[in-house]
Amino acid sequence: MNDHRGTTERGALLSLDGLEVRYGGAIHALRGVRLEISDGEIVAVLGTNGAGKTTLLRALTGLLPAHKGHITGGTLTLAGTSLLGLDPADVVRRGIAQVMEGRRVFAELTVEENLRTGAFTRADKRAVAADFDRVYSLFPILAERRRATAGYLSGGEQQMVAIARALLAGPRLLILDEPSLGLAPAMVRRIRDNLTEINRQGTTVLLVEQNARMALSIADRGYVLETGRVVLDGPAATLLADPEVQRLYLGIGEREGVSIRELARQRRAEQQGVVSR
Amino acid sequence: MEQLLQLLVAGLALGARYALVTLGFVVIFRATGVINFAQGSLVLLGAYLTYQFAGPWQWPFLLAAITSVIACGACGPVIERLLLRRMVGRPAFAVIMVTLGLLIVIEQAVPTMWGQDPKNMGDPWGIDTVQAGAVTVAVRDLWTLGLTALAIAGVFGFFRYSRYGLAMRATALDQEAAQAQGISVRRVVALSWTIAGAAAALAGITVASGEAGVSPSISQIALAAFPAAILGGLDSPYGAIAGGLVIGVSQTLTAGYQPDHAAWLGDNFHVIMPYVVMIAILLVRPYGLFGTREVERA
Repeated sequence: MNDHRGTTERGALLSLDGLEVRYGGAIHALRGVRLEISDGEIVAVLGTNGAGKTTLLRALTGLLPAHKGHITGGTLTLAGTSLLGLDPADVVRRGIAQVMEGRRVFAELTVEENLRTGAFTRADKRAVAADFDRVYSLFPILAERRRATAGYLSGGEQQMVAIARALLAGPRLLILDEPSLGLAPAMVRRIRDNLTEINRQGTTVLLVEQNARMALSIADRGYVLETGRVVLDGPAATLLADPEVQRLYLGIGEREGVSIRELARQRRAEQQGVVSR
Repeated sequence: MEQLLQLLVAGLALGARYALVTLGFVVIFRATGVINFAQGSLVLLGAYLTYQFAGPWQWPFLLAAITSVIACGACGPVIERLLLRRMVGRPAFAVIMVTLGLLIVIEQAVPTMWGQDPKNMGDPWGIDTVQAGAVTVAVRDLWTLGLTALAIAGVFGFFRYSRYGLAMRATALDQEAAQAQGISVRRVVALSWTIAGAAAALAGITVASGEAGVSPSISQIALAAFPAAILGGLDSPYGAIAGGLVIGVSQTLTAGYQPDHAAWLGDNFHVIMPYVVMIAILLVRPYGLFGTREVERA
């Protein structure tokens, strides 16, 4: 039900086509990335270190220039309007909020002050107050610790602060970069359940993860990124069952270290298979 | 005892002037990582503009002072826009040299425009003093303490309660994460320069009021305020205030007692006192009194 035809009929919330990103004119970080997210979906982007996951997020959120990166080709639209050339503040106002890798909470500010920074671009006080209530009911521990200095919270609680802060921007699309990184398994499960709940309440989620099992367990669809290219995409269940994804990202089987493109090339010799580029 | 009290009041007033300049160092450093030596030039400009308005142009003193503070507040972001923004990403050494260069240029330009001789700024309290028991206090010191307390409370209230104050604190902690929340770092930087410029002007006005007068040498207050910023902790607004007061009081006490009790140290030992105090404190607390030991979970 979440196949490609379905998504285009419903109209994409976020749509990337042929996206090219370079750093400093030399490093070609993204090559012709095509990706679509429909309203209400959870979409996972998988990939190893250096695959281009973080670059993809920087491209979406206007943070590339700070890293001397540029979009050198392709299109990038949110609900039909282009996001190219927007600065980070404009992107937040258009409805994209992100949870950065490593949480990046403001360590010396209180929990509540951290959350207030998330609502920085919003003038609608009543709606912001409602969103405060919403995130505090989603993360009751943050309501308890609202006056605590964020830097002294546990890693999992800091991740909750980062997610709550992003939600206070009132986003249509919530982007998360490796939210499970460095967290204990029990906390990973809690964050996963929180994301499911956030999505159920109407926020579209783009989840970038190395933890493929966690990501695919809640995602509708997934993309696999390798050296700046989308090498595989499809419904989450299909990806989970895919032998190459199992070998490379779920640690099942023995052929670690071989890339999906390599495997695909081998397999193309034998037969036609999963969508690969 | 009377002498001690008298020196303490004078020392706190001097420290309050340092604190204003130091606050400017800290606010700009937190937003941009730049140590702005041009701070002294805005001290100078603040005093001379007030003189220009209140003296030759005959404005009421209060209006002259307020206009001068606003004008210097506006100068801050202009300097940032014209000079410092072009230096983003350059070596810290080069950036510091630009601010030093600017200081030297303005220090030369001001006497060229207004002359070398000291001017009377036209403040209403002049050389008045008040008696409290046996203690004699200069009225200008009381005004300095009052105005500075007001200005500093205003700035701290702004940091704590306003939307942009929060944005400034967030940006100081993690610039990219602040941007990701939709905070405009450019605006935060401009605002920091505005605060620094206005605070420097107020410092200049309080230095030049009373018997001291407006003269080109008042920009030197920034040289003594710099060790105050270092010893307070360059990234701490509270440290800026504490550092300024510590330096001011220790300098005044030195000037008061050292000639009688340690004459062998020479005639102008109080002038180098800020640096002596700074070195002594840094030996014990390398990040300064309030400098960042990062907030981290043990």
